[in-house]
Amino acid sequence: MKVIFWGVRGSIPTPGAQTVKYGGNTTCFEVRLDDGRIIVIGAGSGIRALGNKLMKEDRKKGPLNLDLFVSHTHWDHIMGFPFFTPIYIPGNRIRVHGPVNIGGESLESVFAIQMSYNYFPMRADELSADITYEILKEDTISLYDDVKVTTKILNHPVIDLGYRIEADGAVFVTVYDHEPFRNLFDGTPEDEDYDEVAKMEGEKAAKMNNMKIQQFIKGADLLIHDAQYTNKEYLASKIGWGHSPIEHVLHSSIKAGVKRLALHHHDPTRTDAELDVIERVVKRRAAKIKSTNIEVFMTREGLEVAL
Amino acid sequence: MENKDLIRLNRYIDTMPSLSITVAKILEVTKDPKVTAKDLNKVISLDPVLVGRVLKLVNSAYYGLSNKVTSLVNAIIMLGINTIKNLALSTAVLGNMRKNSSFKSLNIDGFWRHSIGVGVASKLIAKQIGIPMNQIEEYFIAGLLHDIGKIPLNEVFEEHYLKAIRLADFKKMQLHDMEKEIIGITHTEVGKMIAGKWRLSPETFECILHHHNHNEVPEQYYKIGTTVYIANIFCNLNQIGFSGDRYPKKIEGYLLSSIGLSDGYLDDIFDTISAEIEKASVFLQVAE
Repeated sequence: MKVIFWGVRGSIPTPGAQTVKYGGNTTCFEVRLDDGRIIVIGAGSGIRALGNKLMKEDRKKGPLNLDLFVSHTHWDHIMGFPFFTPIYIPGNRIRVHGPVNIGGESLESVFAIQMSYNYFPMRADELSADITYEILKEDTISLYDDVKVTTKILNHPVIDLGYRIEADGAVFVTVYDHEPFRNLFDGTPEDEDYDEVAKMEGEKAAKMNNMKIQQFIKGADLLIHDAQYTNKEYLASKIGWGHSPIEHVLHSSIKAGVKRLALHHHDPTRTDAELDVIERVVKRRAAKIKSTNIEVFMTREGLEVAL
Repeated sequence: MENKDLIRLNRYIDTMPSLSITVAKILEVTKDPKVTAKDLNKVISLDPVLVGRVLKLVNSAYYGLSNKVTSLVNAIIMLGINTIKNLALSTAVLGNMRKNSSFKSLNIDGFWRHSIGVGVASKLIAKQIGIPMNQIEEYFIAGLLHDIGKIPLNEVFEEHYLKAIRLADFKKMQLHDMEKEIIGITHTEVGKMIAGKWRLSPETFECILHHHNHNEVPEQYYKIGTTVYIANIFCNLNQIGFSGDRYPKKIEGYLLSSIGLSDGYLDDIFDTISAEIEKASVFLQVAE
């Protein structure tokens, strides 16, 4: 299994001189199985360039046949879809998978909105490829006989899935966008709305849900995890925004026996120079921890990791 | 009951709006960007439809849950404030749109007071008989939702339902017997449909289906089923709200002791229940 990084930026694409090294495209990863089968995770703006590569290199071997998993439907994770050339070509088969919607709407209708008249010159129902949409719950599915995909609902302001792909003898996990669960019913007896029972329930629920995330990432050969903020930034003003502090991600990955950790979803304000510094600091910190050989790095467009 | 009527019922259930009583407060609370989980929990727990929709969402997104989620606190932490807020808002907006058309036969305020009353009574009884803290909320929810089947009946068969309520009153009979006679389906059967669609826990499911005939409740749910049964009759006898039953059966003597309640206990809780309903009613009033 090989993972190729096509988009690593969070929230909004950030082209420009300050982001050339790590890249300004939003989330997209290509998972290439040993026999050439293709799984794509994320339809951020990075999927545009991936589509061009697939058309140039894979399409000549025959119609494309691929699975596209989106973690959630926030715009930065679906905005590249209308620019993904394979969707326009007859004969191509694309299976789109994503999470449930609170209104019970279909995944297809959520995707179609950004291709409706006001936003795009072509409607989703005019696409020529054979495209199907499947809603995934928290579950384990057999994508093929030899490829297992497990999903996990993450903590974010919209229903959002992490993916654990087991194939070719390796384990690849994505956990973004995600913020550690916390007790939303915390408080002290002095508070006007203090509820001791709710506080206890909340504590248990938060702990249990965080434990499930630990189990989900256990032993991953490669984990791509939301790491948008430093601990300082997170505590200062970003609690509840749905993203993780880097230090927490490092420690929980070490605890779960993750072998390679890729810190992802770079904040739009982060320049290449700043990401360089953060990477250096995190690598140094990881090296000091004797109990682990974990390899840590920032996600970067163009990176290829063989598992 | 004809197929087309069942279809109409199902269709209504699929887009059931929140009670008009809670709509204004939900709209107010969800407009606040700093809304807390506690605020949301408070307002949601006062609307049986909203409680059901939250539990439905969490139990359908999480296929692999070995135990259904029955706690609002748990659901709010799993789904997060923003998702819960938007779910409440979309349910309330539906309620806002249908403001004028709902509840022609059953008075909405009376129905709401009865539902909250049975929820609170169930919670108080549960505490009294020593139910573990982490299960108390489930007793409240089962009590709150026990009559949920009346909402679609009232809306979809308005004239027939009015007839059923009037006849039950005139003949001094139980409403659900008249429902069967005049409409062909009871509110417990409709409640069962809702509980299935909302993927409610087996306990809540049984309480909704059997809150008029507790003998049918499976043995493992005896305590919660009997609690809601007793709470419902108590509220009807003492006219805490009104849900169409003016002539409930008496509570059989052995039932109280069978769950560990003393005979005199029920005499003491009327004031507490009334106070909680008044508190909730004040809370739901929005600043002008």
